[in-house]
Amino acid sequence: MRSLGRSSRLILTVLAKEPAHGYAVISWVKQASGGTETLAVGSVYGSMDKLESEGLIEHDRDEVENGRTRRYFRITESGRDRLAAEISKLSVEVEAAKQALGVKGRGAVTGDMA
Amino acid sequence: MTQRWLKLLVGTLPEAARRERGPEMLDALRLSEPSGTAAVKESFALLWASTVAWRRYLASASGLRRSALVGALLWFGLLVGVGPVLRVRLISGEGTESLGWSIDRAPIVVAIAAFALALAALSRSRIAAAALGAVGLFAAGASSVVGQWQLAQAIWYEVRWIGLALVMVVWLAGKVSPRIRTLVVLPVLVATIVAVLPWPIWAWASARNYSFMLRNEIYNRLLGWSANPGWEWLFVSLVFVALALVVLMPSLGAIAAPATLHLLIIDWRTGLPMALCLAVPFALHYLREHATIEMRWRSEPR
Repeated sequence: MRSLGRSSRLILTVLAKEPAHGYAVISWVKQASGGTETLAVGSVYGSMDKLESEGLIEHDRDEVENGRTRRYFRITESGRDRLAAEISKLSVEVEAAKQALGVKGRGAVTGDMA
Repeated sequence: MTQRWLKLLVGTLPEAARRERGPEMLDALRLSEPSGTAAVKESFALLWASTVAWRRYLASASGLRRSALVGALLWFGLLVGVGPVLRVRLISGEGTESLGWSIDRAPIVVAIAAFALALAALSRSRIAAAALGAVGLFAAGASSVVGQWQLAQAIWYEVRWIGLALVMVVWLAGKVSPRIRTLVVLPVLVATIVAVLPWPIWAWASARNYSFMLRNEIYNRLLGWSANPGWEWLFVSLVFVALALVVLMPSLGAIAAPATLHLLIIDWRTGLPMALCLAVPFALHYLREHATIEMRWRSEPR
């Protein structure tokens, strides 16, 4: 199974909580990162298109906000499974990296990094 | 300026995708206001989003139907170009008494006008289009009476060629409700290109014989160009790229489907190679979408 891209992973993460539209995903990422991370609009909508065609997300509803239609998507069961598989793969990588660096839990690196 | 450019890129999405999420994307772009390197990154991201949307659209049922209609319109235009339009060119070059045949100008003009009107009427009424098409076929038949051929034989001949192509256009147009601009511009453009090509005099005179024109002039010329030393690699590469694209986006293959089907029905020797060329990428696409390949490794006992 091919790994998901960063945008796709973040989209699935946001939709795992509740149905959302593309711009909500961009806002969430910006907010969660304290404004340091911004996803390109094109990569979010392109990824959502791809995820929908792969059956990982599906159209939930259309809502009109300030006279503009917003297209909401929700995560599917296979989308949840895929996100879970992706997380466990990433966890293994993170643990391996932590061990290599000698990091315990959320603590600082105990090596010679000054 | 940047927003205008990004709006232009959003405009490259297929119509259905643009309608569904275009306004939302534009709002998001306005709120994120990318500039400098972020605008460059955004431009590439939008182009990628457009490619994803097109690839998806071209593999969808509506994409297939629309592509088939485009193919039917191009094919219809090619046949009208090879037939009535080239007959007009023959008359303008050689006069109405040409190569021992007497050709009447009026039926050719009526045929071309009736076919153009039939296409224009398609966006409103398929019955009106079919009626105008019938007038065109009668006139086209009258313009191709030559030698021992009687009017009935000539009309039947035109029905098998232009008539069948028009039936495909009318049938497919009913499935996708196309715009009048698409319906008229595509075939007229192709017919005009066919008419202005530098045909030899015998090709002009063959404007009554679609099969001969397609096989001996168009097909053989293409094969001649493809076998030209130094160009074979380009031709072979183009063929491979085309086949790969059809595997990924079947709609591109659907463009060739009406012509292939038509030729299989009335001139199978010309249609069969085309059908085989299309069958391979379509079969590969089907396998890619539906086949599951499972590989298991079993360790050898020591």
